[in-house]
Amino acid sequence: MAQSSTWEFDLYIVDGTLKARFAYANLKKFCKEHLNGECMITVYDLILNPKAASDNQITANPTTILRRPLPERTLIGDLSNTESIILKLGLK
Amino acid sequence: MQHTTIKSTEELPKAPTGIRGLDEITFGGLPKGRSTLIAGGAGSGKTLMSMEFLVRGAIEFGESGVFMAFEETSDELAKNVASLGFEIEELIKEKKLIIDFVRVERSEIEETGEYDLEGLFIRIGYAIDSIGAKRVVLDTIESLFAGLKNQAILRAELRRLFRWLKDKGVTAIITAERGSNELTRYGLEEYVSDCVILLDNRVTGQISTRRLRIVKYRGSRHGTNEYPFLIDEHGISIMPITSLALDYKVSNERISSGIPRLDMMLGGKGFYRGSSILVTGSAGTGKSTIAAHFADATCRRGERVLYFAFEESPDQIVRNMSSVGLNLQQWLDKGRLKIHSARASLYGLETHLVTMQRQIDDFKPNAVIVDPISNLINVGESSDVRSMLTRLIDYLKSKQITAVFTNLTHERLEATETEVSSVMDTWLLVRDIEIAGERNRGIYVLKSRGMPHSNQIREFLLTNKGVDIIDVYAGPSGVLTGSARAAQEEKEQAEKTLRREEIERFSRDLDRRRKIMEAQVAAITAEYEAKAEEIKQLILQSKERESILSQNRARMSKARGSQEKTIKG
Repeated sequence: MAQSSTWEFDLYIVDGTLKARFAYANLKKFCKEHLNGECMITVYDLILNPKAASDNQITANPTTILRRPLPERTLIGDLSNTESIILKLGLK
Repeated sequence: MQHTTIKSTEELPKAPTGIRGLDEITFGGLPKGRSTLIAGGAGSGKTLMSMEFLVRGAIEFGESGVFMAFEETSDELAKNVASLGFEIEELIKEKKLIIDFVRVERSEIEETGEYDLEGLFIRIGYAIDSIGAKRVVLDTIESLFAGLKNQAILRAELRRLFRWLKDKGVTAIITAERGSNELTRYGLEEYVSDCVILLDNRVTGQISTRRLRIVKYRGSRHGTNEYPFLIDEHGISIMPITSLALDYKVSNERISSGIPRLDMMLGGKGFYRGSSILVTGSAGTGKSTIAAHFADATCRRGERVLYFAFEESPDQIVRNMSSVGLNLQQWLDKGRLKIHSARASLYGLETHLVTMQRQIDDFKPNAVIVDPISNLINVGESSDVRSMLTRLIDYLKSKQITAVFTNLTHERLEATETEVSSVMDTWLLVRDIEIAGERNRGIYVLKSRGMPHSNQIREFLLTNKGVDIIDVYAGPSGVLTGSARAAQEEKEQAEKTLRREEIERFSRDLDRRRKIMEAQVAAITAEYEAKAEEIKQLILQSKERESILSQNRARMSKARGSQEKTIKG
C-alpha cells in the first residue's frame, strides 16, 4: 500500500465548517492536478475524535499532514494557496 | 483570609490558589471562572506559579486542572516542578491533572490559506471535559506568535479563545513574556483584563530578588505593593501583607527577658508578649548575649524559640553562650530551640524575610531572635528595609510572637536606626563607655511602649554566670563604670575607713580627756581631802590651843583675881 508513488494525506478538520470543506476540495483538486491523482486522503473529524488533535499536535483547523513519503509535512489552512503547497512538498 | 471591612457579597467569587501569601494579597484567590494573566521575564517563575495553582487546586481544593504547555514537554515540566516537591505523575494518574504539550514550529508548518485555531480549542475542551477540570493554564500561548505567520488570524482567535474559556467557566491562567514597553510582548493584556499579575526578578548589588505585583484585579481590591517571593522545595511563598490593618490582638502578658535586673528596668516585669525588641549596640557589647538570655528564659518556660543567626553558625553560638553560663544545647536537644544560620549576603533582604516567614510558619515559635538585623539591612535598599521589616514585625505580632532584633551600630548612630526603631516596641541600647583607658558596657532603655521604664544607665557585665546588670556610679563627675567605678568605690571605701578611724580617734581622745579629767578630779579631790584633813587638824590644833589658852587665861585670871582680892581685900 505504502508505495513511493502514493501520497498519503491525513486531513484534520472540524466537520461542517466552510474552511474544512474548502480544504478537502482543494486537496482533491491538488492531487488531481499535481500528483497525478496518486493520493490517499484520510479525513478526521476532530469533533468526533478530539483525542486525535493532541495525539497529532493539531492546533489549526484545517490541518493537513503528509504522512508519506517521509518526511512528514504539515500544512495548515484551506489549501487555497497552491504555490505554497508545491513549495512545501518540494515539487518544484 | 480575613475579610475585614468590605462586605463579602460585593466580592467576586474567587478560586483560592493555595500558594502561600498569594491568597492574602488577592483577598481570596484568582477570579473564579475568569482568566488571569501572569506576565514576567524569562525565569521569573510564571510556569512554576501556574503549575502550583493547578497542583494545589487538585490536592487542596478538589479542582482538577489542565496544563497546556507551549514551551516544555510533559516530561520536562514534570522534571522541573519535581524540584518544588510536586509529584505531578501521581496527579496525572489519578486524573486530576492533564498536561498537553502543544508544539507549533514555524519551520515545520506551511500556511496555505484561511484557518482558525479550532484544533487548539478542541484539545483544551477535550482535556477539560475528560477530567472535569475547573482550572486551565496556557503556558505560554505567546509561542503561537512565533509559530504562526498570520497575526491577524491569531489575534482574532485568541480573543475568541479567552471568551470561550470564560464561557466554559474555568479559572484560567495565561502566562506571557514581559514586553519592553508594554506589559507583555504581544499585548496579551488586551485580551485578558480581569486580573493581571506581574512577576519580576531583579538583580540589585549582585543579589536577585523575585517580586510579584498585582497590576490589576477587576472588581476586587488587592494589595498594590511589590511583594517579594521565594521559590524553593516547598513551592512559592509570597511575603504577605499583614500590614494592611493594625488590628491584631495585643497581649498584656509580660515575659521575662531572662535577666532579672533588666526586667526591673522594664517596669519590673520584662517584655510584653508579642512585642518587638530592638537591642542596639556597637561590636562586642553583648547584644547576642542579651538575646541568648531571652532565648534561654523562653525555652525554660517550655516555649519555642527560632533563632536566626546571620553571623555565626549554630555551634558557635552554643559554644559562645556556654562561656557566659548559658546552656543552649539542652534546648536544641529538646527541640525547643532552633538556630537557623545563613549568610546575609546570600540573598536579598526580601528573600531572607520570606525564608524567615516560612521557617516561622513551619516551626511555630513563641519567640524569634534575629541576630543581627543590621546584616539584613545592609543587603537591602534602605527604602525597602522599613516596609519589609514592618511587614515581618506585623506578621510576628499577628501571631503573638515576641521578637528580639539585635542591631550593630558602628558609632553612636542612634539616628540611622530610626527607620527600624520606629516599628519596635522596646529599644535597648548597649553602649560603650570609655573612661580612663577602659571600655565598659552600659545599658539603658531608650524606649519601651506601654510600661514605665528606667531612665538610668546601668552597667552591664558579662560574667561566666551570665549577664549581670549593676548600678553605675553616678557622681558629680558623671557616670563611672568598670575599674573607674571600682576605683571610685575604693576611694570612697578608703575615705569611709579614714572617717571611721577619725571618729574612733576622736572618741578615744574624748575618752582619754575624760580619763584625764577624772584623774585630775581625783587628784584635786585627793588634794582637797588632804588639805581638808590638814585644815581639820589645824582647826583641831587651833581649837586645842584655844582651849589651852582659855585654860591658861582662866588660871591666870584666877591667879590675878586672888591678887586683886588681896589688894581690895
